[in-house]
Amino acid sequence: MDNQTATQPNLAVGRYNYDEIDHGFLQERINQFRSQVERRLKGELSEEEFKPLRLMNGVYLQLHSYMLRVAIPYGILSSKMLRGLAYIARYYDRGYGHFTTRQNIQFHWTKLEEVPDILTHLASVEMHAIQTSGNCIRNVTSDEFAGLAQDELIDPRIYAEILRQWSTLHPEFAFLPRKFKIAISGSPNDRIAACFYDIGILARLDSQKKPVFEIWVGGGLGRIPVKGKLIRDDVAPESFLAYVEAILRVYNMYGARNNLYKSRIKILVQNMGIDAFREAVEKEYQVMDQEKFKLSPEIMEQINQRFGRPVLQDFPEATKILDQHRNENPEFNRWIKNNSHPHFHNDYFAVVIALKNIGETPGDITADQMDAVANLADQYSWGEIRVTHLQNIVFGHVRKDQLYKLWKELVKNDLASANQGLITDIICCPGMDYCALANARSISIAREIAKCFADIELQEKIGSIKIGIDGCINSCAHHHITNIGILGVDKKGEEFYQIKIGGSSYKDDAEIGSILGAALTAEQVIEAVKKMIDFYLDKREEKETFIDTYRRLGAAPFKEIVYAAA
Amino acid sequence: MPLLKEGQIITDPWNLVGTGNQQTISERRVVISFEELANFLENADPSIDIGVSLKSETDAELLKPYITKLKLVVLNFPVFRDGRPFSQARKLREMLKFNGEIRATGNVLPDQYQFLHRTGFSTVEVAETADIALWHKAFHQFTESYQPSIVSEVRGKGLRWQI
Repeated sequence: MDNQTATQPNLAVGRYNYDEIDHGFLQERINQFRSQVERRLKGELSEEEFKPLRLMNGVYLQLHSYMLRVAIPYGILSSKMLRGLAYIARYYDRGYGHFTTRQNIQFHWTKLEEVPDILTHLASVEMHAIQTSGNCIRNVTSDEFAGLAQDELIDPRIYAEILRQWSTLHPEFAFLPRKFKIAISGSPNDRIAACFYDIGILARLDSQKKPVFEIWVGGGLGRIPVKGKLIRDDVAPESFLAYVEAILRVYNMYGARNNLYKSRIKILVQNMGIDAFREAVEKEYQVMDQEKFKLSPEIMEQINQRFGRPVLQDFPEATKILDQHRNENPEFNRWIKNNSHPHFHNDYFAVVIALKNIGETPGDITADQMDAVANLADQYSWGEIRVTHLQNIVFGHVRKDQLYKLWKELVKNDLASANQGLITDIICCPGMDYCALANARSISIAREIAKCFADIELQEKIGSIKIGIDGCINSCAHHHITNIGILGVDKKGEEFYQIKIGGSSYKDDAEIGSILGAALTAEQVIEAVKKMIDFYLDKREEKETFIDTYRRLGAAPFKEIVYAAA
Repeated sequence: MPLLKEGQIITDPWNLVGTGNQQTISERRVVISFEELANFLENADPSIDIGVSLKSETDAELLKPYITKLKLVVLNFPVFRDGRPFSQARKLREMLKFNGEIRATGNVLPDQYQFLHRTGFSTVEVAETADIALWHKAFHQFTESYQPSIVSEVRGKGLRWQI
C-alpha cells in the first residue's frame, strides 16, 4: 500500500497538531527551563529549590544518572514523533527508551546539561516533558482504542487534549499537595482503570440518550490502594472542564501537606467522605465564571480542526482476504486472534504490537525498532502510533487485507509476539535496575516468569490473565489491581517479593487484590506463580479464566498451594 | 523589603515588616493577623485602612464577613511548594469579590511570578537580596496561557488567553 494520506494532509492523524502559538509557548517554556538549569549550575538555585522545578519538567535524579520522562498525551504519537524519540534514544541515551504504564516514555541515561537541547529537539516534533513529574497535574492518559472503538460515545482525545492544554502551567495547580493523575475514556466500558485515578472519566448516555461524563474521584494505588468514588454521573461535556477545575481547587486547599503518605486526593476524599467532598466541589463550581470555562461548539471546533483524521475506505473484500490469510498461516491466525481489536469500520482492525518478547524488558523499545514502527505506521496506519497503559503499541486503523503484510514486517523486526492479554504480557516497572525508589528488581522477575510460560500454546490454554510486577509500593505496574500482583520489598538489604491475588483493574469488577502470605525470595515467587497457574488449570471449570476460578474458590486454596511445605 | 508590582519595585504604602501580629504602620494603616481581626474591628476607627494577614492553612472564605472593610490581604508562603495561597487569592477575587491589594510574602520564587499574577495577587514582597531583573523577566516569561484566569486577559483561539 502507498503511504496513506489523511483528510488534511498536513496534519498528523489522531492527535492535536500544534500551530504557531503552541510552538511559541513551548519555546518560552524551554527558555525558562534552560535558565533554571543555568541558575542551578551557577548555584543561584539550591537543589531544594531546583528539584520541584526540574521535576515539573520531567527530570528525575535516578540511580545512575538523570532520567527524562517525556509525555505522550493520551498515548498518541505520529511517526514523526517516534522518529524524534529514536533520535534522542540514539544521541542522548543508550539506544533505547522505556514506555511506562502512564503512556509516557522514559530515557534513563540523560545528562542534566543536555536536557535543554533534548527538549529543543522534542519541541521540533511537538513533544515536551512538561508536568511528567512533580506535584502537579500529570500527563493525561486515555483509552488506547479512542476514536475507533465500537462502543465509543464521545471521542475522548479532544477532551484529553483540552485537559492537557488546560493543565499546562495552570497557575493555581502547579504546587499541589501531591501528584495528580487524570484518565479519560469516551466509552461506558472502562479500559482506563477509571476507579484507580485521582480523577477517572468515562462516558455514558443519560435518560435523553445524550452522552455525558461520569466522573470518579479519589482512586489510587501506591501505599494505600483505594477504589475511587463516583462524584457525578451527569456532567455535560461542555461543563466538564469547570467541574474538574472545581475538584482540583478543593484538593489544593484541603489536601494534606504535612504528611507525604496522606497527601493524595484519595485520602482527602476518604477523610471528608464523598458526600461532603462533593458538596465542597459543588460550592466552588457554582461561584466559578462558567462562561470562561464553557466548551462552546466554536471552541470544540477550533481544537477539533487541529486533529488529523484517517480517510477510511470501504473495501468489502477485506474480511474475505484476511480470512484467507488466516487459513494459510496458523501463526498469523494466532496473532490476529490474540492481538486484534474490532474497529467501528468493518473493513478495519486495530492491532496490538506487543513489546513483551520473552526474555526482554516489558515496555522497552530500541531506536531501530522505533524507526521500524514509524515506517510501518506510515504504510499501514496513517502514521499513527498508540502507546498503551499496558506498555504495548497499537496501530489503530489497519485495513484487514493489509494485516498479513504488516505482520510479516513485524516478524522481521521481532515485534510480532502474539501474547497480548496472555500471561507473558506482563506489566512491569523499571525496578531497582533503574529506579531510585525501588526496593527490589522487577524486570528480572518479569523475564523469568515469561520464560516459564514461553510456550504460546500453554499461554493460550491459560487464557486471559494479567500479572503486574512492582519494585516498590508506588505501584507503577499496578500490582494491586492485576490478577496476580508481585511487589518487591526489602528485608534487611535482601530482595523479597510479596504476592497479591485477585486484583482487577476495570470498573465493573474493579477489585484490590489481597496479600497471599509472607514474602518470598525471587526463586520462590516464580515457583509460586507456576504452582498457582497449575492449580488453576487443574481446578478450573469450563471457560473460566484465572480470575473466575479465583473468585469461585477464594484465596485460601491458592495460599495453601503456595505455602505448603515442600 | 522590596515590594514588586508587575515586575517593578514600588514604594510600599504599608511599609510592612514581616507579618503576623498587629503592626501599626501609621495611625492610618493597620495590618492585623486574621486571628485578631474580629476583635480589632469591634473598636476600630472606621476611617483607617485595615489589612489582614492570612496563614496558608486558613480558609480564605472566613474573611467573608469582613471583606468590605479590608484594603489589603497578605497571603504568606511558608515554603514555595505550599500552593494553597494561589487558591486563597483566587477565592478572594472570585468568591468574595475582593478588589483590594493581595500581597504575597514569604518564600516565593521568581518562577512563580506569573502564577501569582494570574491567580489574583497584586504585589510580591521579595528578599533584599533578590535579583530584581530576574523577577522582571519572569513577569513576562510567557505570553500565552491555556486556561482562563482571574485577571482580565484577551481570549485567543481554542483555550488560549493572552497574558
